[in-house]
Amino acid sequence: MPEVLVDHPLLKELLQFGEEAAERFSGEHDAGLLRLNLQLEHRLRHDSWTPMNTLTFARSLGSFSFIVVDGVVTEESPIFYSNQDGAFLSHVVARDLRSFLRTGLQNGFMHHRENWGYRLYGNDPFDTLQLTPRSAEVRDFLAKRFELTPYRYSPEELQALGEQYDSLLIFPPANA
Amino acid sequence: MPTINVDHPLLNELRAFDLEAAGRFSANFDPGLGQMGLLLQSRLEDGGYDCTPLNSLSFGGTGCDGVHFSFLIEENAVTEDSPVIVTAPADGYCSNVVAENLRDFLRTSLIGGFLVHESLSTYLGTGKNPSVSWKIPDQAVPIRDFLMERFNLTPLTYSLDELKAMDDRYQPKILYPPCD
Repeated sequence: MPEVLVDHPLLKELLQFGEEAAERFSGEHDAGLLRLNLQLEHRLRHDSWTPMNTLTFARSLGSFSFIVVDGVVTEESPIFYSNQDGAFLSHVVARDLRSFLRTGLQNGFMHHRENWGYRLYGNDPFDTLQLTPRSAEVRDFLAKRFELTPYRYSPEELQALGEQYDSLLIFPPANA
Repeated sequence: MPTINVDHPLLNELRAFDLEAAGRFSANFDPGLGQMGLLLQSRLEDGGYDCTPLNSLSFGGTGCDGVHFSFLIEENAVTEDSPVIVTAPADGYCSNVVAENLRDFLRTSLIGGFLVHESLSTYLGTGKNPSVSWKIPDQAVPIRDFLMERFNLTPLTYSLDELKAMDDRYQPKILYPPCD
């Protein structure tokens, strides 16, 4: 009974951090990382609207997932975003989890749902969005804990990542 | 981007048969093969449970306790040679191979219907088959006979040893999501 092997210390730390942040920055609807529009899953799971070889670790309307290659997930696993609209539109958004966290420091993680358009056309409707003070305090806590600096992939970098990783995704048949 | 290649004429024929049977034989609920305990899906898709193997595509279920039947994907393909897996979420984090292929899966369901497969893990684990005496309900007999005639099927019963050997052979190929 092979089970996907998950060797990802940073993910474990992030899950612990998520619980800590939720307690420290409480709120009825926006505790902890939710203030950055990131809802962590307590464990990796497969979402039916994501490619077959991915495991979701967080959501922000859609799903953020690791790709499973040769039955393993590691700190080198790239991050994909999948829309939850049944269209099986999935694309790479970060080279690894650490890079992914850096992409949320400017204005949260919701901008990834527009990532495809950004990658193709360079349009970023979230570019001018500013975090509220309530969200910024969680952002600062996150940045400090993991020693992160903000980072935003350019469309060209995302295109290059896509060429490197998107072909690894395996999709279920559309009409079978 | 790779997509799973599906080449399974028998599955397509079975779906057509299901619709035909639903029109031919009246039923108050679960028409067609549903009367025998198989609710066919119109397309192959993820089984939808945390315990569903990643490398599988579901084609139907019993409609009871989330039990679903899937093809094991090998080399990015589903064919008429693909083994059939039963996943019973209520039984824990486990799936078992129930038949070598769809044709044999149909054959193993001719006597007791498709619900007998729900207890496969119990049978494999204890050696006692809770559904050994099950018979399909009377109202499903005409559909069963129609199925046998259409696909030229005869009943098949795997022995416990055969089931264990089959499960041993395929279990290493089944990729489960992480349990925790």
